[in-house]
This record gives sequence, structure tokens and C-alpha cells, in this order.
Amino acid sequence: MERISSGNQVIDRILMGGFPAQSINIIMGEPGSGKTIFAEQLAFGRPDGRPALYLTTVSEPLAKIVTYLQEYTFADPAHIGTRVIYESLAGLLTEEPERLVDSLMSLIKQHRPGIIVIDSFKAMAELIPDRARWRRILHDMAGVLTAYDAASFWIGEYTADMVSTLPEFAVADGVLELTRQQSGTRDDRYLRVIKLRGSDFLAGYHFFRIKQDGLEVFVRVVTPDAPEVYAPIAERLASGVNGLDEMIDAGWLRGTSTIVMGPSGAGKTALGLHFLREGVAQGEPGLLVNFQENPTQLARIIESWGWQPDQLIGPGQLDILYTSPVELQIDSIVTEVFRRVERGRVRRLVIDALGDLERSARDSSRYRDYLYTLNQYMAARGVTTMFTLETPDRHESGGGSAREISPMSDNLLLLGMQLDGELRRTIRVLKSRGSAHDGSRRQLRISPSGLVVDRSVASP
Amino acid sequence: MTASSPSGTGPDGTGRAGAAALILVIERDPHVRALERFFLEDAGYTVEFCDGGDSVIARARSVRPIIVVTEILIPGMDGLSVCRALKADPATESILVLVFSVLAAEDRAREAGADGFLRKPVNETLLIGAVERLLADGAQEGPPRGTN
Repeated sequence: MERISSGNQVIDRILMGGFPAQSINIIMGEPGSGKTIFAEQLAFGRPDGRPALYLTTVSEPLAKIVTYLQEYTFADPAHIGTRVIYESLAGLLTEEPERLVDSLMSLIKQHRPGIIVIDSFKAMAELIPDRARWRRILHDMAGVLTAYDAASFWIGEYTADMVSTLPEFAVADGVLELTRQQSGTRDDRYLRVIKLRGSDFLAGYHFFRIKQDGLEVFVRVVTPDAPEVYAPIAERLASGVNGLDEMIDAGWLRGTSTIVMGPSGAGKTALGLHFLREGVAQGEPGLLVNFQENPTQLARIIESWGWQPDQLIGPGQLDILYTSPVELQIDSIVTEVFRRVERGRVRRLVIDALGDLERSARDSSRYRDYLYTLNQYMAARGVTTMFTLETPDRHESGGGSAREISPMSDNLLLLGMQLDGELRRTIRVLKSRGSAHDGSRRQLRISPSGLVVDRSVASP
Repeated sequence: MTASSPSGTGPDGTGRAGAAALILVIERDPHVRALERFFLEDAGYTVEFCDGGDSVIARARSVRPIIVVTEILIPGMDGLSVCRALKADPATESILVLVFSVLAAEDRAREAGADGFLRKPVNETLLIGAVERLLADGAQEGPPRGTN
């Protein structure tokens, strides 16, 4: 099947290569959801010779659309009137709606467009309240657009309940919905393909942002149908924590994942940083995904152990991806993690902390999907991963969330805090898949030069 | 004239001397007809339509078009049968036939004797290109095998 690009590489991936070349598509969504920007990016992104014909109706004045359009970097004003031709149907619609199809045919003959956008199609239908008359016009219009070799895009403020009732949805080959969903005090935008006749597509809600260069879309992370096949690696990796490796059979197995659970202040972030620092010392690039400590706070922590941030952080060493938990959106983070792991040839990854990631997911089952996918992806690439997970109390208790996700990890470390006169931190290896391990409780000390696990067994 | 010229006579003397070359089109979709007429006439050809397959043989004998462009799905005799009938008749066998269909039927069109096949929808560049290629190929093959 021949396809045309949407003008956006990620949307093309979601559509399995783009829109079918000769198709009628409805782009639906509430006001402000990004429909017009989507259509304009598509119109201006055409690489071939035939122009895009952008027909406005009675929703927004043409001058307003063109004025706001120029705020976006993808819209070169020099292309207006040549590669993208704007025409208004407003006068015709209010005075002679019966001539709509003839007018469309005339515009096709005049401009020979490769794509045709009608914005707003829904507003146009509303001007013709006689349903039988509108159906005749719609039928003829679909006839013209099927006869002529172009992809058409009908933009409208349609809602989900209209998909099964309005005749234009029966005519359409593709239906793409843009939505806004509240997430805390923030509105998140999602793109969803409802229908794409004759073609498969990546189903579900795909997060997107509107930026100066158009829509930035993140493909919904999906669980692979079957786990990737890879050979386990027997190599052991030093944890970077003095005394810990002897509890885990001389270190973590490469490509495995570890969950470090414990209350706030128990040393989870410190354990992750030691693991990454040891990797840098061994020539293994690392990535720290951090939702709590901003770069300044993190530099302060690193300096407190006598380490030099500029000797640790940098290309080929430690990469830091910091996102405020307030702005966290799980699809965009996971996509960015994949991108940085590939780009930076990352061998050690720490995500601090899972609780922030869980709160950013739309539901708990999707959260587990993300973790499973992350684990599979990293294991198949030999990336050794550590997740931190804050537990609700300072005793050795994982909590409900930990019980749900711990089966996904190869190793489970539990940190505790005891307040009996003085603060004592403890560490236990609860699980280390495929490794002999010492499950006793040991004392974990934070010394001026970093973490140390004592050899003696700590009392409960 | 050159083979791809839209004016004058065709490779076998078909068409109208001194006038734009005639293309006979069999198509029932009014929107496709409108676009075919516009693009072909814009390229310099004269276009005449037949309502269905049953009348096309007699009309082709009568007006001697340079090319017959036919859809497969037409009223009466289907487009492939039209193609066979034109190629079986010594009076019309040299008329070039372009099957222009919504169906993916290139092999069937070739088996029926069509000189060219093009899949819908109407794309100006592809349609005019197909017509010009047929005319160029027809000119290279030399004089017609039969005339009326």
C-alpha cells in the first residue's frame, strides 16, 4: 500500500508508515487539542511536488489561521500560496452550499493538490441542517475525493459518541483522535488512531506535546508479544559498595535488574550512585534517571563523599536525566531512557525512584507493563539496572507496590533504619536470582568516603 | 507529428487529421469522467465518452479513436471483454487500449490484449504519462496491422 507521510516521523510509525496515499481521514478532538497544528504540519511537511490545498470553512477566519500558523517553525511563510494553498469556503457555504462539490472539483482542477485539508469539516456540516441534503453533498464530496488521487483530511470538533452516529465517519478511511486528559493539575495530550482501513496501526493513547516545531509524539510503550531472546552473561559486576559484593556471590550478574527498597534516608540513592561510579571507574557509561534531586542537589551529595562531579559526569561517563516529578509523564521518560541508553552505549542504569514513575502512569497495570518492558529491553542489551523504591515505613517492609513488582527483578535488596538511641541503617539481600547470597541483615554505614557494609550481622 | 503528439492522426491513421487526437473513454463514475476529461483535454486530446461496453465497438469503428481508455467495471459488457472484442476485430485491433481500473488487474488486462494498464484513482501525471507511453510504443511498432 502506498502511503504519505504525516509530516511527523513518530506519527508515521504509529500509522505503520503514514496515511494510505489515497484516503479520507477525520482528525477529531476538542477545541485546543492540536488538530489544526497537526493538519498544518502535515501540509507543510510534504516532500513532493504537488501542493497541499487547505480549505477553511466557517470555524476560524482564514487570516487568523495563517497568523497563528507563522508561530511554528515548520511553517515557512514563503511556501504559503505555492506549496500550501489556502482557500476559504466560508462565502460559498453560507450562500450556495449546493455548489460545494462543484467548487471542490474546480479547486482540484486549478491547483492539482496532493493533499486536501478541510478545516472545520464539522462546522461545514452544521451549516446544512437538512440531513438528507447533507448526506447527498457528503456522498458527492466523498465521490470526488475517491476519484482524485489525493489524501484528504477532515478536521472537526467531533466527540467519541459521534463516531458511531455521523455519516462522515462511515465514509472515512481513517479516524485519528487528539484528546486532553487531566493528570493532577496538568493537562496531558494524547493521540489515538481509532480506525485506519486496510492497515494495521499502533493502538492506544500516545502522549504528545505541542512545541514550536510542531507535535512531539511519544509512541506508547508496549509490552513485546514475546520476550527478546538473549544469552545470559555470567560476568559479575562490582557494586561499588565496600562489603556488599561478598553478600551477592562477588557482585551483580551483568544484565540483571535489582530493586533497592527502603524508607527515605536509608541510603537507596547513595547505593545507586556507588553502583554508577564503580561503572565509570571500570569504563562503563552509566545513566541516572532521577526525579527527586535536581542537578545542584545531586552535585552536593556527590561532593559530600569527596567525589568530583565534573570527573564523574560527562560524555562516556555518567549521564543524568533529571525530570521534576510534577512534570513527569511516563511515556516520554521511558522513550528518552531508551534513546539515551542507545546513544550513550549505557552499561549501567539507575532509576530513582519507581514510586515517581508509578504515580505518573495512568493505571497500575500499565505501570507494570512499563517495568516489564524496561527490564526486558535492558536485559537483552546487557544493561545492568537498579531501581530504587521508597517503602512507607522505616522497618523492613516492602509494602503492596513492592510485592507486585518484585517478581520482575532478579535481585531484591532491602534497606532498613533503626532508631534505638542512635540511627542505624541495615541491608539485607532478599533475593538474587541465579546466585548464592547471604541473606543475613548487615549494618550499612555512610562513611565520609561512601557506603560500607559491615561484616558483622546486625541485630533485628 | 511525433508519436506522443496529442494532435493529428494516430500510428495507424486513427484520429482526426488536423484535429486533436481522439480518446474514447468508457467510465460510469461522473467524478472520474470529469477528471479524465479535464486532464486529457488539458493535455491537448479530444475526449469522447461511451456509456457502457455494449456500444463501444460500434463507436470505435465509427470514430476511430487513437486510444480507448476503459474501466473494467462498466455497464453491459465489462472492460476486459471490450478489450478482447476490440483486439479480435480487424477493424479495431490496432486501436490502443488502456485499462484504467479501480481493480488490481494488470495481469488480466494484459491477457485480454490491453496495451497498457493503470490503477485508479485519477492522477494527472500517471494518466497522461500512460497515454503518451502508449502512443510512443505504438509509433515504434510501425504501421498498423489492419485498417478499415
